[in-house]
Parts: sequence; C-alpha cells; structure tokens
Amino acid sequence: MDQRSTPMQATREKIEQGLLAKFGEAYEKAAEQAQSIADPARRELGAARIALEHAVLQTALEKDLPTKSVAAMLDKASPQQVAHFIREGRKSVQRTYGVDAGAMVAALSAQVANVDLPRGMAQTESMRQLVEQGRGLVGQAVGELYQTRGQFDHGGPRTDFVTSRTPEGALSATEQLKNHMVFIESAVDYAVRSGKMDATQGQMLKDRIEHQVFTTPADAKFSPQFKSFHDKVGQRLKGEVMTEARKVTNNKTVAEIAERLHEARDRVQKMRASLDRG
Amino acid sequence: MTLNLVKFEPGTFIEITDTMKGFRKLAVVTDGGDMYFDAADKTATPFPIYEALEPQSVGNSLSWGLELADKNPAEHKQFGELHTRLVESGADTLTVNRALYWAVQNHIYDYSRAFAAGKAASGEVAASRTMMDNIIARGANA
Repeated sequence: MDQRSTPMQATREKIEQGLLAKFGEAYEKAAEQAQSIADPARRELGAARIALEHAVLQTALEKDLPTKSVAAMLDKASPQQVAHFIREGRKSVQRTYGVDAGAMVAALSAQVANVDLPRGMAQTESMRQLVEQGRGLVGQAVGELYQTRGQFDHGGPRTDFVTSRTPEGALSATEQLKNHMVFIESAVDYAVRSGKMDATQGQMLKDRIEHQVFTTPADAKFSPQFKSFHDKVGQRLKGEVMTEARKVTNNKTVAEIAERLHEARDRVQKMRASLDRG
Repeated sequence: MTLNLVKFEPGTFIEITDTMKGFRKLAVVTDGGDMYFDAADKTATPFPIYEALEPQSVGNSLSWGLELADKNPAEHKQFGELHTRLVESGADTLTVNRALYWAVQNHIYDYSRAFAAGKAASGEVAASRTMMDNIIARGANA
C-alpha cells in the first residue's frame, strides 16, 4: 500500500467534518439567488438596461462616435429625451432581431430566469464560487504533477523497485478537490431527495459544475509537450477524483449524516420564518 | 463593426468594451455563450455580446494557471498561492478573476496589489452601471 495515501477512516472523518461545517450552505444561497432572478422588478430593470445599451451602440455606429460619447450626451439629456431614447432602443432591438421587442428584451435579459432551475443555478454567484475553488485545485494538482513528471522515488536500499513520484502539493490539492466535489455532489443529492429538483435536473447540474471545474478553455495556449501531458493527466485526475468522490457520496453513513444536517437546517429555517411572521 | 452577437465558450472570461464609459472590462460568459455578466450582485443583468464591443476570449483561472505551469513554473506556484488567498477572501468571482488576470498580465503576484487591482476594476464596472441606472431612472420619471 502506498504509505502517502490517507487512510480511508481519516479521509471519511475529514469529509464528515467538512460536511458538518458547511454542508449545503452554498447550495441554499444559490437556490435563493436563482429564484430572485425571476423577480419582475429585476427583469424590468434588466430589459431597460439592455434597451439602453442597444440604443447607445446603434447611435454610436450610425454617427461614427465612441459609445462613451453617446452615453455622456445621454447623461445630460432631459428625462423626456432619455425615455424616447430607451423606447427607440426597444424598437431597434425589434428591427435587429426581427421579433417583438418586448419579448426579445425579456428573453435576453431574463435568459437565466426563464429556464429550469439547474440552468439558473449554474449561473449564480454561489455556484461560480464553488467552480472557482475547484478550478484552483485542479490547476495546482496538474501543475505540480507536470513539474515532477519523469521523477521517481527509490524503494530503499534493499530493493530495486522505483515508484513514480507524486509531489505533496499535488496529493494535497487532489485530496481537497475530492472533498470539494463530495460537498457539491452531496448538496445536489440532498436537493433531489428533498424534492427541490428532480433526478434528471440534479444530474444536469452536477455535470455542468463538473465540466466547468475540470475543463480547460479550448483556446488555452499550451506547448505541444504540455498539451499532451494535460490531455492524459487531466483526464486521469478527473476520473480518479470523481470516482473517489462518488464512492464517498454514495456511502450510507455520510448520506445519513448529511440528511440529518439538512433536516435540522430546514427545521431551524421554518422556525425562524414562523417567528419572523409572528 | 455590427450589432451581431458573438458566441464564446460558456464559463470562460472575455475582455469587452464597456458601452457607457469605454474602458475594457473582464466579464464571464453565460451558459448560452452569447451573453455575459460583468457584475456578481443580485441585480446583475446578463448583457448580449455584441461584435461592435470587440469581445476577446481570455480564458479563465484554470487556463492562466496551467499556461504558467507550462511556461513559467516559478510564477505558477505564486499564482496558485494568490488564487487560494483570493478565493478565501470571500470576494466575488469577477473580482477574484480580475485580480488574477491583472497578476498574470503584470507578472506581479502580491496579494494586496492584485486584490486592489481587482477591486478597482470591479469598481469601474459598478460606476458604469450606476451611470446607466441613473439614466434609466431619469427616463422613467418622464
């Protein structure tokens, strides 16, 4: 057995502690944000912003002026002129895209509000924070593995065995990444079990987050040598991390702890809500 | 230059001209690929990615970090440490990425300086949005 690997029990304890500390908080914040996107006042403001921007751009292109000059003029215009300008913006949207301006503006501004919950969820800042944290860990793990590629550890004076060397930083980042993905997957699983989304939606959300955490932009500028390394090792890392993460997520004990924590949180929230109403 | 919409890879960052004030800003591409968010607050609006605003793909923190791992290992380590500190600061993801992008472009991975640059860039966007909202509010009173 590899002496550097963390024993299963310690790993589980660490994960359970992590779950106890923050399980589900990010998910719940994201759900609130996703729901707030559908707020009519917010959608109307979004529609006005898009109409205004469109009108400024259109005018700038027609008059061959920088957009900021048009915006500066508008900043000094009368309320009537501004209202007229925004109305023209809505019409211009209609002309440009050939559909009813109101519908187009609403569709554009509320693209995230008119779609199903997982899609809206993936667009929220809370979910972006989870993705950002995951990307940092993927970058650290792959980067460190690349620096030590081709290096080996000798098994000791009494053996001829050598093993490929995995740097401590990469091991630690991989371990944290696994815990991070467990956290995300467990939160989504709970959302499915408690009826906040169906299983298909839950799986879509998991896939979306996983894709964003592990996928390097297509136009990243890598040397051929790094690209070849990254294609192999990046995929392997993803496979290993997600296999391990799912093993833990599917573990009955962890699922039960998570369930109890969520139920307790739900009870506290309901209690607070009823106190607020009272 | 036209009002055509341009598509980019969802979840990546683009640099695009701010319509109201003319500066270049970093923004995140939405799932549909033809809109972007330049703010992380609850009232943020996704805007269309118009060709006329000269959008350019700039990748994301994963590609910036890995490009450094490929070409500049010493900076990769500094980048990783900065990334961790910025994420732990609790700042929104747009500010975090603006700070990281500034660090990569300037080869300066000092936390305070990068964070200050990220906050300044987000502040510039917020000021532009305030200008836009003030104009809209005036029009609503007509």
